[in-house]
Amino acid sequence: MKKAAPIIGLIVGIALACLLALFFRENPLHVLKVLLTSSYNSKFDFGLTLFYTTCLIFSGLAFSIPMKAGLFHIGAEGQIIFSAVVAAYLGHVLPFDTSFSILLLCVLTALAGFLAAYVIALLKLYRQAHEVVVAIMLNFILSAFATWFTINRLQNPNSQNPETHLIQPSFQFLNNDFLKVYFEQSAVSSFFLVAILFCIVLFILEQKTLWGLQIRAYGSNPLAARRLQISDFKILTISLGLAGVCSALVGLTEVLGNTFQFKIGFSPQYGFLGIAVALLARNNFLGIIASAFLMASLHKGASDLDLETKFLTRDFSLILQAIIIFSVASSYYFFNYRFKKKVKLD
Amino acid sequence: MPSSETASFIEFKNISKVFDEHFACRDISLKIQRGTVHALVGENGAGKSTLMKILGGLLPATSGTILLSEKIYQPTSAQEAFQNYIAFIHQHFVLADNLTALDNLVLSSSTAGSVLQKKPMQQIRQKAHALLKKFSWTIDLDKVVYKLSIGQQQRLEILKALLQSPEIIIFDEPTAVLTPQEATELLHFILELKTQGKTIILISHKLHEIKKVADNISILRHGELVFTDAANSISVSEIAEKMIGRRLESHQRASGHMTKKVIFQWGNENISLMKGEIFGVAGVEGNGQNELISKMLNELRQQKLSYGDISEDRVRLSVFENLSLTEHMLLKHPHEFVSNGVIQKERLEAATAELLARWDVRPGVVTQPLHELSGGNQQKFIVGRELWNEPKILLAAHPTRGVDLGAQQKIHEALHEYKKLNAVFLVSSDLDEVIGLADRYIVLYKNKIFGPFQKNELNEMQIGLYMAGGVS
Repeated sequence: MKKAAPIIGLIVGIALACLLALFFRENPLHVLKVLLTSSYNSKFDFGLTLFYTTCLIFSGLAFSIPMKAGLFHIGAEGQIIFSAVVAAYLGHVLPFDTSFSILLLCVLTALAGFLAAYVIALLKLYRQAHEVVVAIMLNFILSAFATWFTINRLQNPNSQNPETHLIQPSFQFLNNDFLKVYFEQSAVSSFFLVAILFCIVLFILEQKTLWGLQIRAYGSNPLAARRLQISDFKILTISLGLAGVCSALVGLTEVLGNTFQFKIGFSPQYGFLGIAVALLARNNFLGIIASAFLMASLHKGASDLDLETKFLTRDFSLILQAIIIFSVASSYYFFNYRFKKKVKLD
Repeated sequence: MPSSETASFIEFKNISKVFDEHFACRDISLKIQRGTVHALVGENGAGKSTLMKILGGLLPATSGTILLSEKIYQPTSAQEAFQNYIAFIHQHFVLADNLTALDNLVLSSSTAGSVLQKKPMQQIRQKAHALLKKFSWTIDLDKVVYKLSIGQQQRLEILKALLQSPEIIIFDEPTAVLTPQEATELLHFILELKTQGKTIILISHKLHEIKKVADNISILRHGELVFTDAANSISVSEIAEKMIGRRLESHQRASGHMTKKVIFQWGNENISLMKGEIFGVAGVEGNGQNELISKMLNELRQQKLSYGDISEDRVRLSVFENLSLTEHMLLKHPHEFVSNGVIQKERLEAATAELLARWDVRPGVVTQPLHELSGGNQQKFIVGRELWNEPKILLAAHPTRGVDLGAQQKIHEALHEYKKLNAVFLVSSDLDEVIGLADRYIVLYKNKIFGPFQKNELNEMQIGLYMAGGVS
């Protein structure tokens, strides 16, 4: 019963969403059909779903890794935007001769994400600033920087929209990516495989290495961890640093694998959706793959409601997503409450 | 014994309390006479606090009834117990630290009525002064609570209860935090309350104290009442035996193995540990023990000595929620169980299982989260883990706090065994523990160190004077 909790939650959530649709004079069966099928209508649509999945896996990891160390990291959104603009800039200026440059671009972008996240770690380590406050402020600063940099330094001269130059054609190698070709030039790319690989590797690192254990121990009781001489510096560097790298990978997925440029507002708040993904997966690195896929399907389906129905708008689709996420997330607590017995004496 | 033996004031009839499927109290029937001191003893988790919480209206009984002056009494809240003249003085003070003593009294005696009612300051102050005078106590009512001494805070707590002129007063481990002098005073006070006709229920671990003041004793073990009779019908060692179900060895131990070989020299603090000794730190808690421990840890780390660390607060400083016993083992001894960056799971599990068996940690499942074990078993595990690699120095801070007598004895034995190899730095606010175990000891008072003294150099009262700051 407990294992089936999220599935029951999902069904209840979809049922509630349909009821709400009824209230708006839409046929709930039609809404249901759009929600459930629009992600798989065509290869192209499915490719788009997988692209969302990729981004949500990375942003889910960016939330979930620091969470293991007890840090509530909500700075992924800013890091994603910052690293995307860095990737677009590097793709524009780096001299391209060998595959070394591609590697360099990836490493430097990852480094940008790392540094953006590391600001949070440094302020926490040396100024005891709370990570939530720093992260939420950095989100604004980094995205404002990205906007300024795009418009004033990298604006695409061939476009009215606020977006950067395309990266050099030789950096657009993922155009011939086998996944992209298979899914009819959809947004998906091999970064999808990288995302899954990341989840598996992180899962193994967490379970099998001392570092993984130390991070979990720190998350469970930082005072006791310090007493065992597990250093704050090490834990914060690893957890927030890795989170920054994961955020940077969302940027790379977009810039190297999808649009080949940075567009202001490209992210439908991946950073914050990632929080829902991680919570849905209960911070399990493997579970993130499934929950990211679920959220991506919902995202795709809900955004199609706008086109496929008479009265429902894009905003309404957000409400539907929220209801479904809410009921899945709360199902854990509901079933835990019912079935968990706790023996506690004074 | 009072003459009115037949008319019991409080009568518990077949009281049971079940948490999930676990009996905290099982079918307890007990009579308490008016105007007596009734002691309730038992190990941690024996059910004495649960029983009193039922009387105090903090918990409902699962079955059974309580008769109060032969009328059925079923409190549903602490207020209701209050209205029946029952006062509960908790082990941990329930005081608002940032308010003055008087404010605390007013807070607790506020009655239902308009929220905007004026505070009855003067009225309460007069009442409080009258009581203070009666017992010749001095508490500055306008002082903020955290500036009062622990003894004064406890008196304030008692005062709070007495303002309601209760008939029945429940004391839960009242002397646990006091110096010997303060404890003696408190016991006198309890006897004085008795002469005024109050009925007192005293929950305590300290059997000698109980012998001094109690008229009747009830002993609980595993939720069951195993003995109830007049206090003078049973000896201290018989009480202890009934509490834990077997005979307890006296923990006064001979020193002897001490050599003159210094294995740790702490220059700044003029403290040195010798091989084969237990070096004690006595003192009422909060007089600089924690600072001393953290300085000691720093020093040990700097000198790169191997050390075991039984921390002063197990839950806060040693237990990781949701991590298993093996993981706790690994966190302390990472180098022994990791090779080439990979955890050697089999070796780790075997070592942990062996540790559990040796220390009789129950249940002995290595993959169980540590926090699910009982306090005593958690502590035995921690002690075993810290001693596992036979460190040069064992730092043992309050090693038996919150632990039942059986586990306490095992831990004391272990410290005694271990000192033959190396040295133990024992910090404890339980004076009996320091006197019983330490070969040399210092006394802490307001961050100042007195001593070191040799074993048997001072008697208990003299140590008490140092603990209370009576010697400068």
